[in-house]
Amino acid sequence: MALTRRDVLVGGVGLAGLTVSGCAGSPTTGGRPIPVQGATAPPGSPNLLVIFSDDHRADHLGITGEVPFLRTPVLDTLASEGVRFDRAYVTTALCSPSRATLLTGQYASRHGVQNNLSAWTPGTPSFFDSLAAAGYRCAYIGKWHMPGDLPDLPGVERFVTFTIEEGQGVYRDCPLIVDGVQTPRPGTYVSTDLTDYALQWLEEGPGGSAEPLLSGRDGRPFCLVVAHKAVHHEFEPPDDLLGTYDEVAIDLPDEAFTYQTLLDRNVWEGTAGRLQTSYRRYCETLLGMDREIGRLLDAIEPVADNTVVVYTSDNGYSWGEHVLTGKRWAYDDNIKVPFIVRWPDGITAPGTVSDAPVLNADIAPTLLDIAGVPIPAAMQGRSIAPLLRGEPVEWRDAIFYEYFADFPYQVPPSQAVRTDQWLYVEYDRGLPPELYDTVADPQQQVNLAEDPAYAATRQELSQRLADLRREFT
Amino acid sequence: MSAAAQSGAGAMPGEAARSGPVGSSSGRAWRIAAPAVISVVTFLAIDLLLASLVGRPWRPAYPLSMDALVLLRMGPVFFSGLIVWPVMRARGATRAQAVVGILATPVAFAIVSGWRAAAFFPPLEAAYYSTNPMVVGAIGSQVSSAGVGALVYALWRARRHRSGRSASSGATPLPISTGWSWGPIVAIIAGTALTVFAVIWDGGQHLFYPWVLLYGSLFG
Repeated sequence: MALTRRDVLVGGVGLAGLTVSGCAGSPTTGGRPIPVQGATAPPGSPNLLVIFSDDHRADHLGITGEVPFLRTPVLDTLASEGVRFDRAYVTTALCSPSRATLLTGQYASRHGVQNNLSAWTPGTPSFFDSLAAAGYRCAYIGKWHMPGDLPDLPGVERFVTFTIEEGQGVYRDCPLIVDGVQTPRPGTYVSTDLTDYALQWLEEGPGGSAEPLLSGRDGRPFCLVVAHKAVHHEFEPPDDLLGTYDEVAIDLPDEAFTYQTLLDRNVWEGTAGRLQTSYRRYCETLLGMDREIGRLLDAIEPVADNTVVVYTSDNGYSWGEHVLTGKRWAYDDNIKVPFIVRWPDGITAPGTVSDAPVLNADIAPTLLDIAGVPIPAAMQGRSIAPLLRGEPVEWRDAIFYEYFADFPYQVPPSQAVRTDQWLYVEYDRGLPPELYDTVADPQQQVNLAEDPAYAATRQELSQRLADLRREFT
Repeated sequence: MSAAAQSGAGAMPGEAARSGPVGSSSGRAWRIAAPAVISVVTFLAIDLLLASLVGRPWRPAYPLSMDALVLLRMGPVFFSGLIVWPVMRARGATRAQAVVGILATPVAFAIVSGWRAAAFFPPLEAAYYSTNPMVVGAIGSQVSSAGVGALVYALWRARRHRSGRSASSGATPLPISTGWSWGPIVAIIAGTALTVFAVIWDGGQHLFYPWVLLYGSLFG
């Protein structure tokens, strides 16, 4: 049989995946769901749908108007039907720690997944444990991307993920691990494939033996997490969207240039080549993911009135700001994420934009709160349910950010405090502190840390950072 | 006077000087090492200039200038073997000396990379950083470039020889052949394969991930 070029390429990818997986000690077992027999959830308990993307920066939503050509019609509609938080931050702007924070409601210092090389400890409590114990039927479908052996996941009935390319996955023909079983997926596009698996679980029930979750006959609420690979590099949009933004004018930051991707600081970000080209593909990949989210939201329409939908991302992304391509830094481009919640039964003012500073660590306690499940004391985030309901509540006025070294990326370990006006960063090594007035200098270009006029502000923020460090680490 | 001097118009870089009296041993060593040194200095100069200018935009020249510097910096790191190898050999370098010559710039690149990484990682980890896939890719590219340079030089010499002009090569004259040999071909293939594996195939991730995982094993 003659091999086509495509056969060779696909085979090569598979072989490479095996090689890398072998090096990583990636699972020959693991990735299996561990259903938990829980109590019966109270009637009317809301369904929970969390859609989690990768590297989607906060201002890249069509509804913000920040990027004139960008379209995200589904997410825009979701925002118009819910609440969009325009000061949503991650506690660590990096894939693995942020994913662990989503699941645990804890900072990386607490849950232990500090960078993309530190493993998720099996048995680490997640919101799935609590929800399953309360009678929820749970599924995790999508990017797991925490190093080490893929764990069996307590509390879920369906666990679909991938480990190829050290858990980064690939956009096309991405082999999946479906309930612990390696499953080739030739001919697929990963955003579509993950959505298909999510729809299958919702429409058919686990293993086809239970009542369809969308039929309402099951009587149990569901919690579904769909974690997309998109819009992480290699920024591969679906075929029909490739080139959508080829003709649009791109306004890069002043300090950016086309081949900054080849600088030492950026070279490992997977964007080597023309910055503008990667950026266009990023936006097209986002458009493709938006479409898949639309499919999912359309499918849950029968139960939409009783379903809470959360959309957010693991971190932002620099497209030239500070001559950076990537994430990890404490700048807003990296730590701010889109954060939308649609909750028909709870939100009193759909379509509003909240300026309350919220965290990815708030998602786990929020889900539990909305489900009426006690929030474990170990969770460090706070439920935003009162904010969604429009209730008066004393809320945080600053967020704490932490970053741990992540070889080989040339970003020093840091901690930062972000208030409504200030960003103050302290590095463990390599760089002096940074202080930015984010109101006067939203792009955080002018470091005021050594300016005597801001000495008192720096001192105050340094103390505040020390207090937060004590509280959260 | 040698035939080489008589036909100096078509000589390779550095050959014309051979017609003069043989200098001191240090002078000869410098002549041999000069191509490699120039490559290293060129890289360092561009790298320093780049580091001093990056992030300080002056419109409209800034983006174009920075792109030019980034791309120019890659020249000596990845491709200087194209010139360094044949010129060093033409000036009498042994194969081992020429190998050192073509590796000098990638090694300088590795040292600079490790030195920069030392700002972010402890010394041993920074040293490990110096072994990164870009350095491996640069070594591969230098080997293949040297192969191309050697092949072109050999063909040029063979052509001159056939036309009756001198094609002698310095203190250690290279044998005149048909211009064709397997050594450069093997270098081109092996070097290209190494570069493709290290930095091009799937963006170089087939070396990148094992390299990072080995880091985790060593320092994690």
